[in-house]
Amino acid sequence: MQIESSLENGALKVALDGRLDSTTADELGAFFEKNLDDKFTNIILDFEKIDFVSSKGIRVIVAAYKKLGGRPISIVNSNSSVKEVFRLSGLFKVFDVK
Amino acid sequence: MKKPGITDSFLLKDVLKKNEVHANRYSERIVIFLFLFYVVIAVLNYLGLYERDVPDNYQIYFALASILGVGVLAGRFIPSSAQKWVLFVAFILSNAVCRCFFYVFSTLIYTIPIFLSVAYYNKKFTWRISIVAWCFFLATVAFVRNTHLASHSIEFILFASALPQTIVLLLSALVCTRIAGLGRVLVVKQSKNAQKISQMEQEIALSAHIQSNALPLPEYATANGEMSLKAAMIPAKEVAGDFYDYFMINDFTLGVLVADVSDKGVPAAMFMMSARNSIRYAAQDAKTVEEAIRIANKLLIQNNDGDMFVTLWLCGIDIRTGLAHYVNAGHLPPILKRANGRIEMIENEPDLFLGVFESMEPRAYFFQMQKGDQLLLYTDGVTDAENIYGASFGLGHLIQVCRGDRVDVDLLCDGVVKAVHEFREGREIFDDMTVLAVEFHENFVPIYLKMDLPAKQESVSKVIDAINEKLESVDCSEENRKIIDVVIDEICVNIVDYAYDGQDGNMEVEAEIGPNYIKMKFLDSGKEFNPLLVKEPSEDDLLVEGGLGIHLVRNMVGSMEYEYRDGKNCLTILRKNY
Repeated sequence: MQIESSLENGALKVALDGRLDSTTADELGAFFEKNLDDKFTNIILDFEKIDFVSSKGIRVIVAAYKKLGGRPISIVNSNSSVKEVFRLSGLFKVFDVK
Repeated sequence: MKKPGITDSFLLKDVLKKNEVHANRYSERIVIFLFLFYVVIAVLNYLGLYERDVPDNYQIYFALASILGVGVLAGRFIPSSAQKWVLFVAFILSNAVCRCFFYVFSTLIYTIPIFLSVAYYNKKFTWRISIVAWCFFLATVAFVRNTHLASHSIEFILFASALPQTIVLLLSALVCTRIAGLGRVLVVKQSKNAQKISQMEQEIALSAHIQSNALPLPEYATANGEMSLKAAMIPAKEVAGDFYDYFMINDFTLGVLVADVSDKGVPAAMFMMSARNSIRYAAQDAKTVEEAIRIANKLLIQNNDGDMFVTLWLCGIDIRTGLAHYVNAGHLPPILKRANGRIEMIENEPDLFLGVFESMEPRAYFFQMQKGDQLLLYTDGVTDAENIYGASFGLGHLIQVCRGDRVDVDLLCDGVVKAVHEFREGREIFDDMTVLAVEFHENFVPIYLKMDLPAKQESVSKVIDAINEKLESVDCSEENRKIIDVVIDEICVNIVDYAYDGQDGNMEVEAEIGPNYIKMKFLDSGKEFNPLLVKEPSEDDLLVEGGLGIHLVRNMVGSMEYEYRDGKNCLTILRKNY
């Protein structure tokens, strides 16, 4: 999985490419481990090139959310089946999923 | 519904009002009769054909006639409550006049209006008329004292004439008042009964409505058109003991049935509702049709204080393959019309009917429906329908109707009903009549897939790819394929990560892909683990391993079953309508 990040207007924008499943979730986990510092106010996850998210992927994002201590995570450009996974996990309440 | 008290008095008022109108008409007729009598006498007298010793008495006769005539005419132009008074006063007045001029010692003539007043079933009215009659009588006595009876002493008139006649009048009044009172009691009772009957009729009509609503719609087709059916139930009375029903016993089995309760009318209708609910309830839990019938029988016996029973023919048809299992509980054998037109009877040794014998152990038989085969279920109301000559419709006639050109189930069902109606030639229906026609449209052969792979991460994508390929071939949308991917991924990864505690092991995946469903079985020989027992995670639990994945799967599939058998975990999931 490819992960590209940039700082835009104080937001950490992370663009992902590939499947976010049990094999790749750890890569994202490692990325968050390295990059979660105080230099941004929120995270925007760009899911344009993600067509698959499993529960492991979600768990990594939730773990990041907890570390951020209130700084919001929003997910943009997700396709309908990915949205469905977030909806069924009850995470619409926590993340702004678009 | 109106309050009973109010309706009561309304109804009674109506009845009495109606009665008054009738009584008025009758009284008027009597008065007219008397009027005509006087007119005839007057004419005869005028012509010298009828002589009395009073000179010019034809004028008196005419006067009498005119009093009555005025009474009748005046009565016509006033409300009926006043009409009776006008009629009766005219009547009594004419009596008095008559009594004055002719030697009529009898009081008989005064008693007639008293008797007539009974027709109003009104004690007060009869009393009042009696008093009026007596007053007029006294007046005539006084008048006569000054004319014809001048020769008699006052004592004689009082004791020999007025007193006995008063007693006759009084007794007549007493008797008539009593009869009027009794008559009124009867009228009140009758009107109450009439009201009760009309209430009962309303209730029966309502019951019929509830009952017909309880039957499912007469037309049905399964979600993907594998099967379609048409049914009709024609009750003999307002409410029926016959019924038809259909329901999905499980995801792929359509249950259809017709049943006939041993009685007719309201008790049968109530038993029918109970039978229908018992069977539906039993069919929900039962795995087979015979089990459903056995449970339904037990339920019905519990609720059956009367000696009623129900015969039925129930069949569960696999909508994918057309394989039908049926139980015949004392019912008539259905007709199977093959696609090529051949007629077969689904005959077997019937089991006992339902609702009486605790020990009933129904057996299921089976037959295979092919594409285009139609099954016709019916009750004895069809075969036993009689025409005006007393002949029955009969099974032969029914088969003949079925033998006709191939038509869809709508026309087949309607055709049978129409044929019976035509046969009866207007003779009333003695028994409820039920027909249900069901057709099997498609033998779909599902795609089967079986894989046995090492429980390793790289196997997961192999499973996903293999199933995806098959899903694509049956036009499953991409969106649905993605969801199914998630399901496979979650379950397989779970096996890979946890089943063998890092040891080597295998996972087996079986998939069955139908026209609009996918059924998958995941097996592993690892440690026993029932994912269905995993609680739904709360927000805080999202980080805990395992919980979220199974929660996702649970929400993405229609049903999920787990069993541990022969040392294997076996998880079966079904997703419909992809």
